[in-house]
Amino acid sequence: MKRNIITITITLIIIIVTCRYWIIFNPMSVDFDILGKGKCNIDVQLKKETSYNFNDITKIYFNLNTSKHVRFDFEDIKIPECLKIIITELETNNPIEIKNITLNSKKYKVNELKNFYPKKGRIAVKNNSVIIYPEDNAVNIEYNKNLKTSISAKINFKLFIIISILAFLLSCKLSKYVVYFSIIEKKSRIDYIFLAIFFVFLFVPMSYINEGEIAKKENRFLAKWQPLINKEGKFNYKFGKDFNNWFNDRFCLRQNFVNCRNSLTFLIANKCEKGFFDKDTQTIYPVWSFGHYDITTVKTNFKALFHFNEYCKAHNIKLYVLIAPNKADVHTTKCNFVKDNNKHIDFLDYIHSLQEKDDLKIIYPFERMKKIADIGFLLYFKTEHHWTDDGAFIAYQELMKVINKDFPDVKTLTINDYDIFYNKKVRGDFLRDFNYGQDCGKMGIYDNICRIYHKEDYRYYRHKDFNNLNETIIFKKYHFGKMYSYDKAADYRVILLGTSQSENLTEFIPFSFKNVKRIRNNSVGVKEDEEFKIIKRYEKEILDYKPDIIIFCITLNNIERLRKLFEME
Amino acid sequence: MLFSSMTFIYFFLPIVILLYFTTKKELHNTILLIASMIFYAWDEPKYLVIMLLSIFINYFGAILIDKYKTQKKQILFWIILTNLLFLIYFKYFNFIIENCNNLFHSNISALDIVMPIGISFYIFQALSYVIDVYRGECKAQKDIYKLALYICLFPQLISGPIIKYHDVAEAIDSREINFEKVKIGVKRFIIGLSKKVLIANTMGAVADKIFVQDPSSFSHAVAWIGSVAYTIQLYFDFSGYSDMAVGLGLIFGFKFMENFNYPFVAKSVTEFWRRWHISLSTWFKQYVYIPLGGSRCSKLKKLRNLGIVFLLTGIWHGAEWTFVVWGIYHGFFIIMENIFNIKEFEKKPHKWYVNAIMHFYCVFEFLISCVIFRADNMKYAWDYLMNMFGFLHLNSENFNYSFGYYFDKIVFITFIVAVLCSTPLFKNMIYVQNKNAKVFVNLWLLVIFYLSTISIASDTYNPFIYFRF
Repeated sequence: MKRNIITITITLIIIIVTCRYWIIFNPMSVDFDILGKGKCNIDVQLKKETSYNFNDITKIYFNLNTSKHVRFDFEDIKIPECLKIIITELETNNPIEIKNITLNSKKYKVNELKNFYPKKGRIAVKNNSVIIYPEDNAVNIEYNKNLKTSISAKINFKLFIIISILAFLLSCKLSKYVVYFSIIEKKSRIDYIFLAIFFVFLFVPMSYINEGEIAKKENRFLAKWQPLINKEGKFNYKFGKDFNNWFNDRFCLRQNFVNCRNSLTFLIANKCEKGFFDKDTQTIYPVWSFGHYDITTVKTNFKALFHFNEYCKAHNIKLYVLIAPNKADVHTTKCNFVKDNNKHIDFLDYIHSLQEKDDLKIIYPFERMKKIADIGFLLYFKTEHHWTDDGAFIAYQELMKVINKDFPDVKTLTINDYDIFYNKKVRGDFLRDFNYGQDCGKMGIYDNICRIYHKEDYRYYRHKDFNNLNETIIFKKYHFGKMYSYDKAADYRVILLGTSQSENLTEFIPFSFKNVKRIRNNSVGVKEDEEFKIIKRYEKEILDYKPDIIIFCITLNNIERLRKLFEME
Repeated sequence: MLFSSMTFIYFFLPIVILLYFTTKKELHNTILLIASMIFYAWDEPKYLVIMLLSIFINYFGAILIDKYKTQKKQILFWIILTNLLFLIYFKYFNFIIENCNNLFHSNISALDIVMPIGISFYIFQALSYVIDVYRGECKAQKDIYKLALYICLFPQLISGPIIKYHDVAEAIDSREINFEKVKIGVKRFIIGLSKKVLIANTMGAVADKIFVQDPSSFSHAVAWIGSVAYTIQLYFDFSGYSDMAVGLGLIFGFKFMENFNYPFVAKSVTEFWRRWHISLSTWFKQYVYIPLGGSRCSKLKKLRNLGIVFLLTGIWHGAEWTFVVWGIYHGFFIIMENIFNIKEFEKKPHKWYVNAIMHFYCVFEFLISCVIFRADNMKYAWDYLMNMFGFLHLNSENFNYSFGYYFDKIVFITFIVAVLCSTPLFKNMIYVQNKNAKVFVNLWLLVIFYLSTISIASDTYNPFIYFRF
């Protein structure tokens, strides 16, 4: 009797656990009508975690001038978690109307404004349609209410029967062991429960495999399945390694395990894998905010800058190199483990010697930033390694001091040119959504911890004449390329080239020069030959644009990448 | 495949266990053999060929020894030579070339050889088998699959313990699996895993931070921390792996020999080596030391034999002069202890402080040896030791990091736990019979298993720091 109950229970558990194999859900579909002006990309997503699908699978380059009916099919989604309509690369800021939203043939009544959550825009609901007023060239709307939809599925009876029989046979065998152990050997229940938990736990990570494409918190693609024998019939000798990568990226409860470990480490030692937490100042110091290169490495890497300077000279362009200091040097941490001071002093000496020579124009705003940070200004975000608008503004001013020597007619903006406002948002990173705590996720710190510790208001700058600045997106995908034109500024053509640290500079530099082309030189999801690592790629942009000035913003703790500038050619 | 990987613990192991426990006894060896082959070929399939070749050579070699009894010495010689040639080629060839070049100022280019994982272990196991057959301690195995299972049994394949054939010959033919074995096996596996993941890896990270730097760029205290951290890492890493191997062996019905027996409680270097890497020590004892005459010869010869054994032990560990010196260093202490007859001294009762001094001497000796073992070359080891003993001129301005960089709360807690676990304080923990104690121990084991799991899972977390430039 006992054995039969155990057998049936195990059989049922196996059948339930394997339901994803024998229940086949019909693919979800989303339809709606859209009306607006100009062109845009539209993406629809049904998962709460926003996917940044680099392959543009569901994106449509869409002409909005006439009402269009669009349809999105989702093969891999069985039950929608939410409904997100993401519109990007809008040509105009004119309103967009969306109506007749249908999910799996179920038409939705969109008559309650509270059901929608807009990002970067406002919405209104009228006559069962959503009207979106974008504030930027991108806008998201999210349907927050639980989606009631008709889910249609069918059962694969063949597979169901096979699984049931196999499950039954397996259960018979297992129950035989269980009964053998418990009846014949009369062993302690405590040990019995212990073993049961252990063996069940062994199967947990493989019980569900994440089939997504990217890990948002890690900002990378998940490893793809590589078969042992590929389609061409070739044997994959790296199958083991490929499998490890695939399994390590996708096993069940992975993120929960990682969060749990990071929270524990963080609570015990105020640190995580990627950074340290200074309790006194409530500031997180990512490990890369400490690093310094020894002076020999710096000099080797700087050769690339000298080459680049020569290249610019040959093309009659003035090059200015702005180096963003490390956060830990400016906001000195009380977690005083890292005494790289000597390397930093060597670096400062080297920079001063270069500045005296006046050949390569290098701006390293460390000294002024340190002074201002010591007064109590937050020049870097507490949660991550980027400078705030205050930090970027000081860097801009230091940069302009040098530029003004060559171009005295260029106006250096002052704080009076700006409206200052306060916000909790953290800016600086790619795919950030401007949510505070995001970067800590990347550092491996549990977001909730960040939210407890970081409730800081940061000063933000907005130019008083912001509305007269024209911005145009020049690169699709992830280069963050933009063209700025501001008629009231000095008539020069500038390329602002830089890392994420250069992002805040766009609040200032486009108002000093009439034409500015901004290129982000570290991007993810782009082909090697499209990356802004090698001079050939820069050259294309430079020769097309013919700038008077290039402002090259680099980050101190990663100047090693400069080597690739000329090496790869 | 590594024991402390997600793929092994949460994919490979559950599937093998499931297959093993749900099939007939007759299929158990086949399942284990296939699993072992997959386990070995997982990262580098091409090295499977070398292992299979070794299996074939030793299988046919042993049969020939059995068959041609009059010529068995010559046959044994050729088999041993072939096995050693494998080892020499894959492990020592480039080392020999490098030293020849240095010695004769020649310019022979090194070969692009990558050492197959675990070759030192399975070659020694294979040698143990043919020598046992030669000595008549066991019969030549007629079933090549059974011999293959002995040589490549996955629980002990990569890092031992080095199982002697006569110890498991019976179990390969027939073994009993019972609840008690499985229970203890699981508990040993969890203990081994947590030793490796929670203690060895934590202390290893500290040691890595220190040993990656030039010895002049950290203080004397940090040099000592590095040495202690690496000693703890070495012990817990290796003994953890051995515990996992013994545990897995028990789950599948085998009883492997213990490889470690709390070596840090030893009062002499001689005793230390009776407790450290026991399977290697006994292998050398049975197959090198005793055939050389062992202790049943003149005192001088005995000392020579000990010297040879420890020199070979050093060489076995790796193809670097540091390992050779490491072996000689231990050999020196063993020989000195023999000369001064420390065994007799040990047997006598002593006051607590004499015992304490002896413990200290033993741990200290090993601590120093660990620096040599960890260093990339002898120059580094020498400078490091000079730093430890205050003979290296240091300038605090050259120090890269302050003390706190190496030693945080987690490291401190781990250090305390490691020191406690190096003693037999918790030796019989998994065998307790008291109900409450059993509940506590089982819960504790599940907790450390979970902690080990989240730690391994965290290693898979690999954020793409694209914004670093």
